[in-house]
Amino acid sequence: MQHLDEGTIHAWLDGELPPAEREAAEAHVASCDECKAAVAEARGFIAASSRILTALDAVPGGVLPASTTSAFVKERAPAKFTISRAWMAAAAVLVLSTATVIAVRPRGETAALAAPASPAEESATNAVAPKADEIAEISKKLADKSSQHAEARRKDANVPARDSSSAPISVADAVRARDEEPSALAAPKAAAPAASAAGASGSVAQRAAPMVAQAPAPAPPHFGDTATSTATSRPMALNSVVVTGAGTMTAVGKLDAAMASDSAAPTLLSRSAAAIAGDTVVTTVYLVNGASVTLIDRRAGHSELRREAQVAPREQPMAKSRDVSAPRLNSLTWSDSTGRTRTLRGAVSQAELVRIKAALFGATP
Amino acid sequence: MHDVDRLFRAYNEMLVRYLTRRLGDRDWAEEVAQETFVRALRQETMTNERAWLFTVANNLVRDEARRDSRRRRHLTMLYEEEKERVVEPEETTIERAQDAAMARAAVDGLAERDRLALLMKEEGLDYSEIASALGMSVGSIGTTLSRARRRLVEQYERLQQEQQRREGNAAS
Repeated sequence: MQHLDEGTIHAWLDGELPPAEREAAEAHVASCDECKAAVAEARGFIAASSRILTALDAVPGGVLPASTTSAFVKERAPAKFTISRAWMAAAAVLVLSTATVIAVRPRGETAALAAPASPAEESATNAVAPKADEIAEISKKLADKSSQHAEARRKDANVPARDSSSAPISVADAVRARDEEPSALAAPKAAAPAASAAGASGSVAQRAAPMVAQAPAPAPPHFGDTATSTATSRPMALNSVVVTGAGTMTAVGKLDAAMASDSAAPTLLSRSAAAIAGDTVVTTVYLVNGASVTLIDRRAGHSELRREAQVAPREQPMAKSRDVSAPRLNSLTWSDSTGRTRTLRGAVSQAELVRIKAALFGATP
Repeated sequence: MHDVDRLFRAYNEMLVRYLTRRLGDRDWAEEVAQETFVRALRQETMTNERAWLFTVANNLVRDEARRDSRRRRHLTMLYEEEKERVVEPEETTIERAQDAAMARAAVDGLAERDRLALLMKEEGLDYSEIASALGMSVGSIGTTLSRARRRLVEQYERLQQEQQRREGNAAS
């Protein structure tokens, strides 16, 4: 008879062989030393594997969910530390984002630009859909302050910028513009930097105020002008992109893409609306041929605004501009019979402004 | 419907042990066993209770493993990390834990079918039941088991020798 194969030996030892096969196997093993040894070995494997499998029973329960989790929690530092780390992380994000804005701001920013960070403005812009009475109240507050702000802005346009003022301003701008995002999440997110910025920028405004106290004829109070100022230079366009972009691109990436397109057709970079002195002011930043042009569209019935419409376009030199060869700022203002005033401003030629106006509104708006 | 009380009393311990050995986690094993008995409630006919229960348990494990094998792997990894940091107070416990770890490694080194056949055999299932649960022919079970046992023992011994060599190195 042939030697027993290993499977048969195991089946035999497991008592699984049919009677006829079992008898034949027993007979063979009795006369075959080789198979006798194989059977002994198989017995050893059976016993050893059984013992090894028994060792598996020494496993704890909850290997996966409960005990693992609790053990980790126990080994962790106290919850207080975790919280403080979370706050540190949040603070780090805030600091980083602020630092980023500082890095991209032009140096020629002014204290007056801090105006939007005032509590009233903040509440106006943080409200996703402000009620009419709220707007009225905010407008009143803004009107009270605006002369100071406007004067400070004008004054600072002629003096070197204070670096310390630029950071909070930027954040405030960011808040304002970001509030235009449809996402409900945007408002609370923006509120945090605004709160921190309000203090700093407020103090800047206060510092500026005494200096302009004796100014004989304050500029017409309006924030639309402020908005213009914040969006006149190319770096400002970057700032607008930073805060209004709803996409996932980074600010720099977005600007690069916009610059790369370098199209003669106005490209919309950002748009923000604000209720200022009872009026609706929509500020839109376009990119044309690599330069940013700001359109301020103001619907107003107030006399002061009509007056503003008649103010000759100021040609402000870009204070401390990093790009000395940058074209000077020009503006084009026109109004229609409905009391709607539009202003186009940008570091482009007057002729270019006319062209842009035609591109946006047709030959005769 | 079956008499689940009876089924449970007769097979739960066996099934949980089998699943624990297979999965390395008693809670998971108990969950699967419980679900197996829930399925038994809905089962109209069972020609072989034991084979049926093990078949269903195997399917449950396979389905669940397929569903969240990645999560399981991650958690198992966490468990291993956690285990390494635990300092056992008694030497016998360390030895036992080492033994269990080596046994686990050796069992995991087996082919799936070999491992399941072996674990089911250990729970007393006969060849026809194992064949039924694994969809194999009865005639192939002896060969499957002999291969599984040999490999298990050989792998375990290899791990043991490595362990002893490490301990020897550490001592010298």
